[in-house]
Amino acid sequence: MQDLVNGLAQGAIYSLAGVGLVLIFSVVRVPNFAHGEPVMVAAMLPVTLMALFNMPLALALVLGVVAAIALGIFFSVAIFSRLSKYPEVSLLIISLALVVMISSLAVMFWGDAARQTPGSPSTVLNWGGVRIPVMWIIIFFMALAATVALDAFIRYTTPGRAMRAMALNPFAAKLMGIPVARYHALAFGIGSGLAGVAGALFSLAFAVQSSMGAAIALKAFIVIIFAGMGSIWGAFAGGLLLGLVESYGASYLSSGYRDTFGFIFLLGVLLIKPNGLFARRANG
Amino acid sequence: MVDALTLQEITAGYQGSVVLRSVSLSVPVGQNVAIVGPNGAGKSTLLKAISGLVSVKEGSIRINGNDTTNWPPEKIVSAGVVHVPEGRQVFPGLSVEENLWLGGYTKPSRREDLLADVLDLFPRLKERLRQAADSLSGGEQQMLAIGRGLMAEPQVLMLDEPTLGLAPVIVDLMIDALENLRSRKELSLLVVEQSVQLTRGLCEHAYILVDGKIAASGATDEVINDDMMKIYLGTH
Repeated sequence: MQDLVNGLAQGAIYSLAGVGLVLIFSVVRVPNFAHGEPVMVAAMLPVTLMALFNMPLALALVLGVVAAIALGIFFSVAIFSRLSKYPEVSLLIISLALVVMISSLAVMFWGDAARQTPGSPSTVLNWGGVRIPVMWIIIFFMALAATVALDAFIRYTTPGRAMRAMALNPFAAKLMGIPVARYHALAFGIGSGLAGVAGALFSLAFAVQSSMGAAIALKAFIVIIFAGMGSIWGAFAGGLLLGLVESYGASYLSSGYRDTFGFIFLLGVLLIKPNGLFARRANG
Repeated sequence: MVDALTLQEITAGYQGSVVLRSVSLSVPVGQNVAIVGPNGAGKSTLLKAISGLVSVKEGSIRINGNDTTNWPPEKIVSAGVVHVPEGRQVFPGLSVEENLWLGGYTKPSRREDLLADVLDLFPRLKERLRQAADSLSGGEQQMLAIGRGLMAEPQVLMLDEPTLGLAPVIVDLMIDALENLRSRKELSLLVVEQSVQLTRGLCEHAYILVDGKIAASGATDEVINDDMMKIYLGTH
């Protein structure tokens, strides 16, 4: 039971990061391995802001997320939208280069020590021997709310529909008069913003460090491969599933291999359902 | 009167290869123009150069007298020139209605009127509004593609091979619909088409494009006669 709760809390973070990555990948087809960097920025920045400027917690967290959004828009405007005619493999290598550069800068700036953002609610509920920190409940419902909001945005708003059109047929989207460069930036901004929310919540409940981005990005990729690329709710469920796999694996097998369980499980999923667990059909 | 669309000696192509060489062409307001020529002559590239998908290296493109050379595609659509590409290119997985909605992206306030007009022109689409676009037949998808183009309320509608691969009975329907469009004073068509029957019935002017160059142009009946076709298209 405790494993279930641990898994859902950790998994909700993966869900948020995965949902953001699904948006970016489906709309602009960039295999963005630098997706963990906005997570890291929003996780690391609040403590620094609070220490340097005596900023209240809420404001520092919001600014962390804003920085993540800005980083995402920078990725789009300065880098990936200029390279959109190159194949995905080239974009992948560039995103890996971004990981190296940004995480090195972050380590220079912040060092590599693990830390946590202080000031989150410290109440821990106890339900029949199961410890449930209130913060974990907040994390879970924030992730759920963000996913519901994104789903509604994609379905019912003009920018959302335009982004769906880009995902389905970027060539035709241009011919409809849809300003694809603007939506490229918007997809990156929203996707990285969700990554930022994941990072901010992560830092309130678990230890974070400036070199964490690459590992989170890999997990976000596991999540969207589970989901079969391209499904927002698939990514949400995939994140929770990854959290559970890690938490049960760590407690029944060995906590030393926590990070490998996700990959082993991914291999299993791909062997049995190559299109992903939640794929309805081939992704258009 | 200023022509709806003018190309002045444009040279265009893809990285490292020039496809169009010094092509000049004009589409007068309310008149229809055909581009014919053998496969690989650059007909589709010509439309792509106009709609901003292929970059123009030399020369200029004007829409209503305004220089739109190398504008991004979304600004070309707003300027009044809409491209219905070869192969229909509907949005799969979205309904007919959503496809048409997206076609009206640049005219959000006029969507309802434009939709009514398109459904009037293609009553078949009305029966299929909620159906997924990729579940339609080829002919219906072509109607959807043209209807989606009309949702942007174009002044010049560019059609790339609108009857390619369609059953004869559907081709007739398409010709009827295009005839209907033809009578609209404010709309010009720029049609790339293999079917001589369609171009003759529809277009006042024709240009023959061979190997990226304009080989002949003039009134459709004069340009597209058997001798000309033999000379330029090599169809003996």
